[in-house]
Amino acid sequence: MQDDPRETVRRLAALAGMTLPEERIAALVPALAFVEAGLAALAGVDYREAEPAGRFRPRSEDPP
Amino acid sequence: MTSPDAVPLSIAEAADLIRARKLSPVELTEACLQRIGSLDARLHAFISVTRQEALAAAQRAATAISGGNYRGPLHGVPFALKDLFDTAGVQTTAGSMILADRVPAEDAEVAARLKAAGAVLLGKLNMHEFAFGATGVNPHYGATLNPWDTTRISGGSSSGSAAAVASGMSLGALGTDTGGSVRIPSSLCGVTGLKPTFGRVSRRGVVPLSWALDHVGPMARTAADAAIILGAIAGHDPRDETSSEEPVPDYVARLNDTRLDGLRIGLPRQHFFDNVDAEVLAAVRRAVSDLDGLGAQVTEIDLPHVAEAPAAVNAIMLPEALAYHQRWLAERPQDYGDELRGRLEMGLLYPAVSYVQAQRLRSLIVDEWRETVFDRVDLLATPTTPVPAPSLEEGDLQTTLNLIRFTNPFNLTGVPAISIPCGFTAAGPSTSLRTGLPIGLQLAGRWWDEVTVLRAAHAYQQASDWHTRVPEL
Repeated sequence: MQDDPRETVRRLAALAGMTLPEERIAALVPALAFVEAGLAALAGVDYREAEPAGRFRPRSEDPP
Repeated sequence: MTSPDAVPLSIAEAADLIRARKLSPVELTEACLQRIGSLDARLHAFISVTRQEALAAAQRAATAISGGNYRGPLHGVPFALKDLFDTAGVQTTAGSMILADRVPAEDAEVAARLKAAGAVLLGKLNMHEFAFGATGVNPHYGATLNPWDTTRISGGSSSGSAAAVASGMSLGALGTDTGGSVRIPSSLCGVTGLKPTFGRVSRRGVVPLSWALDHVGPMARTAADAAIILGAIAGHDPRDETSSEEPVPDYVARLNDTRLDGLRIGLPRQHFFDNVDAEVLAAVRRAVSDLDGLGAQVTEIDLPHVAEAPAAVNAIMLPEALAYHQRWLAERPQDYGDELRGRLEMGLLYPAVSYVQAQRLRSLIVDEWRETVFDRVDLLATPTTPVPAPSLEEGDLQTTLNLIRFTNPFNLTGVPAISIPCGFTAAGPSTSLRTGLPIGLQLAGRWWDEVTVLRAAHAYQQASDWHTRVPEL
């Protein structure tokens, strides 16, 4: 993440093709800490050889 | 004819009376409509009531049954649908302004299956806007209030479904569950709610929240009723690519045990008993002891990686929800409630790699639970929620994050999980809190093994009376 959290949010929105007004950007800034905590939790996992779950194709012997 | 004044009947009780022609579907439907008329202005459980259609369907059921064409335990039984299930010719809003005028041409697969079973649609139920939240506070259609204490939330997102069943306005309902939205309101309103295995029930014609995590499930007074509804809606739908071809057992026929001898129940050592309200914890411990008394063997068990499950759910759900809503957010942002709009925009903050890692974590947890959890136990027992129903004044985001802590790991793994009433908090002096608030026990089983989940819930309900209590309204 960049130093200016508003700029971070603005750029992420722009990358997704969304233009957010300043008050929406400001409202999202507090959420950055929550998201970063979640990302840190995911980054700390030893995934070993796990592949993404992908689209579930159910078979009787396979869970999703 | 038996008077239907005894609403709320269970579905099984009503079915017995209807089959024996001691209760007319028309009288029962009229009783539900009357109850909706007298209670719903306070509770806000319904977005639309299909009175004329319901009475016509009830009359058709009555005629068919008197002609000897009884279809089964849902024939002539009133039910209602969360307002994100498409219903042909009936407004389907998803609790939103965005879809406020939408009238589908075709029924959702599950709506069609319930109608084919002879059930009578009473109307469409209030919900958290677009199912993205656990409080049931809707900015467009009003907050669905908890029938046990109208100063408190019903829980969500299937808020109207739980409140309608708890208050006897409907005998059963369908909800959807992406992070706990069937089980949470069921717990907070004192009813029974089942999230089946991912792929067990078709999602065609259901407004999505997160394609990877959405489940459809029944809500009713009892596990036996949930089994009846699940039997009607489960099974392969070739037009839903996530739908399974796994054979569907006769759930009702398998509910013949009052003992649970040999059943192995695991109490998770991690996550599920952290920061739990003291009364909730005591009630769940008592319920587990009761299950032990019915013959189950209770042991503690480790659940690998469960602590990271909520982060993975968020990393999947938020970007998927944003993807679904992105065009509307650009074109009609003013038509979203502030809280939902902010939550959807949070999806912007997740990098693509976190979505992939979350899906890898899903694979990892599934493999590890299959090898190290469900080879040792048949069920997991946990509180459904860490607290009883919060007050309406509590903030939405923090309340939602707390309520979904114990339910969303089972959305990630896709295993079946049920919430059943297992106690009440102590009664208090506040406005309508004369009876205390319901507390839910969650039981989760192996993939595709709804039978064991339902069997344990049913045996517990045969030995307890929490599910028979009715709020004073």
